[in-house]
Amino acid sequence: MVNALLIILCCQFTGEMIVHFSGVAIPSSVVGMVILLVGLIIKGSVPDDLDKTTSEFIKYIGLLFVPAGAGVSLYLNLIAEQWLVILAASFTATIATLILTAYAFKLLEKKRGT
Amino acid sequence: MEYILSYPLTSLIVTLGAYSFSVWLQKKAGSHSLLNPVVITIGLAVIFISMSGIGYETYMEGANFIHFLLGPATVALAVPLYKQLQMIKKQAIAVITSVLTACFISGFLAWFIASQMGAAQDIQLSIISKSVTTAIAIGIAEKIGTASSLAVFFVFTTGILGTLFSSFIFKIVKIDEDKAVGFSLGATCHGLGVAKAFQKSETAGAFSVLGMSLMGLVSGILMPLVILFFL
Repeated sequence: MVNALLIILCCQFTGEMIVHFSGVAIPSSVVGMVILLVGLIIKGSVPDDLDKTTSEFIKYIGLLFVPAGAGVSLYLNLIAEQWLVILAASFTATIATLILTAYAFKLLEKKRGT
Repeated sequence: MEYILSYPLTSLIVTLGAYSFSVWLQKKAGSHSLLNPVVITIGLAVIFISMSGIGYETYMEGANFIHFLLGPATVALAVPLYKQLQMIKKQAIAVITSVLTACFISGFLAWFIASQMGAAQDIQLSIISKSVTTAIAIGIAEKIGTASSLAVFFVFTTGILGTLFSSFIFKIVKIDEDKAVGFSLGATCHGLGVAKAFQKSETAGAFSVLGMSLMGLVSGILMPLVILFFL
């Protein structure tokens, strides 16, 4: 548990340093994720300890969205004012993405399979 | 009373308590997907903030302890992605093309419609990451300097809309393959899509996890770069 946390925090820390000193516009936690992914690919397997800790972490990841999500209390008026735009944009883009992504996958998968 | 309400531990207890209650509620109601525990917890937190009158900033003094864990949790997402990597090898072209399609269509179309219909700047920017898994969508919002709370709102709106209509949509366009449907659900509707895909089959579920993690990774890298380039 402690070792796994140490690995995760070091990846995040390195990500933060890379973003800070290079000025690249990528969230530092995403850079940390890439570092861990590359590490796992090089190692070729997931250590047991890391596997357990991360799956426990991810199980409760929903809870971690609450503080940021609760900030919506500052935007309730804006959402009420612009609900039609929000609904139109969300709905159209969501349906289009669902269809086109599945279609692209199906099309290319077939070409390879047959 | 004001002291009690604005004490950091109070926000922390309220948030954890609300989450625990929401998880219980969803189980009690037969795991109905519309009763998403995160959505209900956010709703309860919003009610707490406005009823107590403490304001969001005071609430965050306590809730920040939870918020801080988002970074490590995002890094941890590398593990499920790594486990699905074998699947990419067999389907590399399909996977890479589909994830780029999802990234471009969801981001561009949502931004385009919002800007054409005159949405506020904050909405235009935070709606771009609507199909990205929440932890990374928050990271993107913070990077491009828009409201991360709106980003969370759009992520969940997308997840709910998408999973409500997906069965109907896939029937109309006649796509029923487990892999394609699963991948698309994960890439478009992130965690909610993954839950939906596992109801279809194990294969659909596995591909939805792949879709969600890759979509998060690719969007986390590309979206801030593209947005900040045009801003």
